[in-house]
Amino acid sequence: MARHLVSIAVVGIVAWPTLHVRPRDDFPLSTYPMFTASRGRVASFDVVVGRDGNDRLVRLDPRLIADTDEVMVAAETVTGAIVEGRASRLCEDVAMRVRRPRIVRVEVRTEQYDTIAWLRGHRRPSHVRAWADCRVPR
Amino acid sequence: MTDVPGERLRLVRVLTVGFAVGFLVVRLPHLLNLATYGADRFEPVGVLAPLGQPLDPALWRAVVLGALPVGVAFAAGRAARLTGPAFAAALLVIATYRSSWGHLSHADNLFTLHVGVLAVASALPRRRPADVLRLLSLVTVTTYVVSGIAKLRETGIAWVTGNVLRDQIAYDNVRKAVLGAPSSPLARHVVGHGQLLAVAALVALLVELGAPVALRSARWAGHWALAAWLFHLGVLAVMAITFPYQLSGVAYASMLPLERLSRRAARWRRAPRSSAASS
Repeated sequence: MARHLVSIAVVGIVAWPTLHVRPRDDFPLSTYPMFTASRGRVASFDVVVGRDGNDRLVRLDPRLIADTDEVMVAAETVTGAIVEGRASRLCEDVAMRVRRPRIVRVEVRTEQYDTIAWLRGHRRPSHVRAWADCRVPR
Repeated sequence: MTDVPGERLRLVRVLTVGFAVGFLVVRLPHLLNLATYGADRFEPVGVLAPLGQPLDPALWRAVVLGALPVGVAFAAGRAARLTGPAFAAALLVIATYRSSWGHLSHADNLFTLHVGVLAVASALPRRRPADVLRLLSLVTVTTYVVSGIAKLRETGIAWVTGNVLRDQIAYDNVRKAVLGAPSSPLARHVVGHGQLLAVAALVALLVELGAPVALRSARWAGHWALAAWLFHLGVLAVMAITFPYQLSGVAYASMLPLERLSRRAARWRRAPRSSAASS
């Protein structure tokens, strides 16, 4: 009997977040919402990019964007900075980390794509909104 | 007669806690680097939710570095009544802190929970190894069922059409690419096959909601564990998302007859000595 009660309790604890009317993700008890959002084909991405001397766009990696090797942390850092009005500060932080001589400017921006078309090679964003632009210090 | 669940539980503890220690070692630079993150990025979750600001850097580094020898001792079964709860508590704080910077790392949930179950069991004066193994399997199974429920709750029957999965694969890969991270080279081929994606979405849902079949018997457990492992392999292939605990197979160790492998390995190790002695 005690074994069954313990089993029920363990299942209840692990499933607890999903039993709520409005499930809320947390750690280590989670609703495991990964892959569940209906994204649609058209999506916006908050990014930080570099520009070379010829104004060509250079993609920056998570290490330069947010001092991390985790892409999701980088994504949340950029979105958080935009939402909270800290895009200029993030831009300057990234510019300080960029040590590539060919990158002369950094931009914080939101790019919109048809993601399926992007995978098929159509890489031009349908919409771009710039939030901050700063020079790389020399 | 050998106590099969006891032997399996020992192996599961070595593998699970060993995995957690390995995770700390492999991610050590990243974990220590969290001490340098600004307070404006701090969004505490779970047991750390009450914190108003990040931990003191020295305290954080002490917790991370101190957890390593305690974890090794627990994996080896040394003073498990003390090292088990101490390591589980440290791991909970470390994994929670790692998820407190705007992104919840869902790859860390299951092994954190498993180490917690092993720690509580090691602290109890009397426990049946078979019950502990069953609890570990119950935790595994429940996490998959919760994942399946989340898919149905968020997308309803649309999930099964494969369109949600297609858009998710495309979104995730584009996000990685525009943020300068490696994406899956297979994604652009996969998104054009609607029927394949519909089958993949249905199979994913069956693996998740059907997870309780693993509790029926060892044979069912083996089949389900293989299906779940292949599911994670598929996620890695088309989304470049890694679930190391699941892909290592350790996540399913509690439901597999590890003791047979252990005995086979022991026989194999003894075999050369026997033949050398007889010659």
